[in-house]
Parts: sequence; structure tokens; C-alpha cells
Amino acid sequence: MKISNCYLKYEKTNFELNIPKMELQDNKINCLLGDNGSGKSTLLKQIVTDNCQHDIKSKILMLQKPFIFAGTVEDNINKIQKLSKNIIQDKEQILADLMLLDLRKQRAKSLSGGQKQRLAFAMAILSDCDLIMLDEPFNNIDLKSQHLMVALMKRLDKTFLLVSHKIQLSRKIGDYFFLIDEGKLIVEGEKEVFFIEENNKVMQLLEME
Amino acid sequence: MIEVIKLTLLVNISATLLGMLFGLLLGYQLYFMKSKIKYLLIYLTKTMMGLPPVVLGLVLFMLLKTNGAFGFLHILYQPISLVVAQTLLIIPIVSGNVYQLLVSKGEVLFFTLDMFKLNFINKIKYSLFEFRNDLIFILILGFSRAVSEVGSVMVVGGNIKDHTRIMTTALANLKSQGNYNEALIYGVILLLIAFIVQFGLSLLNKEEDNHENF
Ligand SMILES: Nc1ncnc2c1ncn2[C@@H]1O[C@H](COP(=O)(O)OP(=O)(O)O)[C@@H](O)[C@H]1O
Ligand SMILES: [Mg+2]
Repeated sequence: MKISNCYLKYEKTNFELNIPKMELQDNKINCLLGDNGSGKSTLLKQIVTDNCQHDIKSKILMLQKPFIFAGTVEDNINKIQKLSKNIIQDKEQILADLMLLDLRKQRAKSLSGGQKQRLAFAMAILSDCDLIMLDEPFNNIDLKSQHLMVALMKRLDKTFLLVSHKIQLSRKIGDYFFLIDEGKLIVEGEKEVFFIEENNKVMQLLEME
Repeated sequence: MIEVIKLTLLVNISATLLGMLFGLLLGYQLYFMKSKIKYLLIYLTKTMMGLPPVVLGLVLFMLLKTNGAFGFLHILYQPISLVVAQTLLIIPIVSGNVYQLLVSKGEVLFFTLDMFKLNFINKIKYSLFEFRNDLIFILILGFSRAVSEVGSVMVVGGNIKDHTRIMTTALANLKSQGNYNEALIYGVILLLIAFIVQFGLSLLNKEEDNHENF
């Protein structure tokens, strides 16, 4: 998938996003790394709102603070399927994988933080879009939930664009990597050529974790 | 007395519904507005939320009297003028609150819906459904404004017996005649009406006691 001409300037904070070209690996887990405030969330939002050129047919973004609809877990799942107009075959399996089946009748807003996060993740997957973007999906969740989500990502043959500040985890599960700094892509590549001594910035991130 | 209660309910309820309708339209309009005067209008709305009813009554009276700008409508001292007055009092309460609701909760919902390319009308529909509990509360606020005010209906309606007299104006009248006992009965009935309406509307709000887990 090709993305180009991603440009945005926030006058108030003098932040500039400028990404002339970016190519995602199809059916792979693409990881976007970078410091806080480097523009990761901004880039994802620009892509999902079609504010840059791209050849992606359908895409969804799980927000850093995901939106949960009123009603039960099931209501939420039905709503996302109605909105995306996609009927995914192994819906039951995905819900089971994320241990959401027993929570179906529960009111979504009363779920625990980790359960909510899993629900939002399930909704992103069930939308069955060609590109699934995840903004810090592993924040504030227990290791078990994280494990379930990672396992599902690995199992599905989908294109992901993952933003996470958990560098080691990204390194473990990712296939292709981008490093963004002050709104610009500065390094990219497959694991073997990304996590090397020569990439100072990458090494800095690794050391800090 | 039955006639007075009937008219009171009729006026309060129609004003609340009309106020809700126009208030919703204005609130959404304010939220989606791009123009520079947006913030001026928001301040104006917030000011109008605290507008003393007699002041509105006075302005409306001047507009509606025979040689006023809307004198040709001939609705001064008619029951319909009560509805008009109360509707105008409720509109800012509703639009101010709807605007605030959309600012605090709407952003993420609309962003999410935009991902699925929903058209404008559908986005509005989803938001009305999603925020139904907050909207019911705003409806209650509007109704509260209507049942509790005397000033505007007194000025534009004139408190004419068997014609434009409603509970609050009747109560004020009885009190000035020194008829405290009957006034108190009106007071109790008013409270009862308020209670029943609030209770009924709260029943619609099923999630009220289910707090968000944060
Ligand atoms: N709506 C906004 N208005 C002004 N500045 C913003 C806005 N949103 C984000 N920014 C700025 O843009 C920069 C990048 O933000 P963001 O993309 O959220 O960073 P992150 O990489 O941590 O996700 C930050 O410096 C932030 O202050
Ligand atoms: Mg971010």
C-alpha cells in the first residue's frame, strides 16, 4: 500500500508533519516508532481521514482512547459490522480468541480498562478493512490481554500499521519498521536492517526502554 | 382549577418540545459552524441561558402589542403567546447544553463515524441515539425552566382568568390576594407535576445508575 503527500501544520504548536512517501508492506505488521509528540497519531489520523494520497480501499483506526458505543459489548460489535458493511466469517472465533464471548451481554462502558481495549481491538478487526491501524493498543492492559491481541494479529493475514511505544514488543512481532521524528520519517526497513548499530535513533529508543 | 392545570400542562409541554426541537437545531448548527461569528454566538447563547423571564416577557410584549413589529399576529394575551414566551426561554438552555455536549463527547464519535463515510444526516442520527441519555437530561432542564417561571407568561399572557391563567401566575395572584392556603395547593400540585414528568423522563434513561467504569 502506498501513501504519499502527507502534510499538515499545526500553527498553534508549530508542529509540522511532512511525509512525501511511505510504502506499507501488504499483509504484514508494519510498526511505526517514535518519541512522544513525533507525530505518530497525527499521521494515522491524516491517513484515515483521506488527507493524504493513498491506494488503500478501506481502512480503520483504533484510536489511542477508543470510542465505545452505548449499550452492550454485543451492541458495539453489531454496530461496527453495520457501519463497515462487512460480514466477517470467523467472527465467533475472533471474539473467542479475545475472550470476549462471556462479556457479550455486559454493558460496554462498565468493562475494565483492559476489556474495553480488547473490545475496541475486536471492533477494528471485525470491520475487516484492508488496513488496520492501531494507535497504542497495548496501553494499560495486562500481559494476558496483550498476548491475546498479539496472537490474533499474527494469526490473521492482514495489513497492520501499529503504533506502540513498547519497542521490544514491536521488534518481536513486527515485520517492517518506520521511525518518525519531528514529523518526518527518518529510518525504515525490515527487522535486520532497522535494528542495527548504525541507526543511532533506533538504538537510543531501544536503550531507553 | 382543572382548567388552569390543563392549560399549564399544555403550555409547559408544548414549549418544552418546541424549545427542544429548535434548541437541538441551533446547538448542532453552533457545533458544526465554521464561521468567525461562531464564538460570538456561543457567548450570546450562554448569556441568554440566564435571561430573566420578565425581561424576555417585556421584549416580547413590545413586539407583540398592536403597534409592535409582530402586532399583526394578534397573539398578545392569547394562550399561544405563553407558548411562544416559554419556547424562547428554553431554546438557549437546550442549544447551550447541546453544544457543550457535542464539544465534550461528540468529537470522538464524529471522527469514528467519519471513518465509515457516513453522510451528515446519518451522523446526526447516530449522535442523537448515542447521546440519548444526555439529551433526556437536557429535556428535563428545559421543562424545569418552563414550570418554574412566572415572569414572561405574566407579562405576555396577562394572567386572564379562564384564558391565559396558568399555575404559576394563578399562584402569584392568590398570594397577592392573601389567599395563602389555595396558593399552597397550587404550589403542591406544581411540584407534583414536576415530579411526575421528571420521573417519567428518567424512566427512559435506563443507564442513569450504571456509571462508567474509569
Ligand atoms: N489539534 C492539535 N493542535 C495543535 N497541535 C497539535 C494538535 N494535535 C497534536 N498536536 C501536536 O502535534 C505533535 C504530534 O502529536 P501526536 O501526533 O499526537 O504525537 P505522537 O507521536 O505522540 O502520537 C505534538 O507536538 C502535539 O502537541
Ligand atoms: Mg499518539
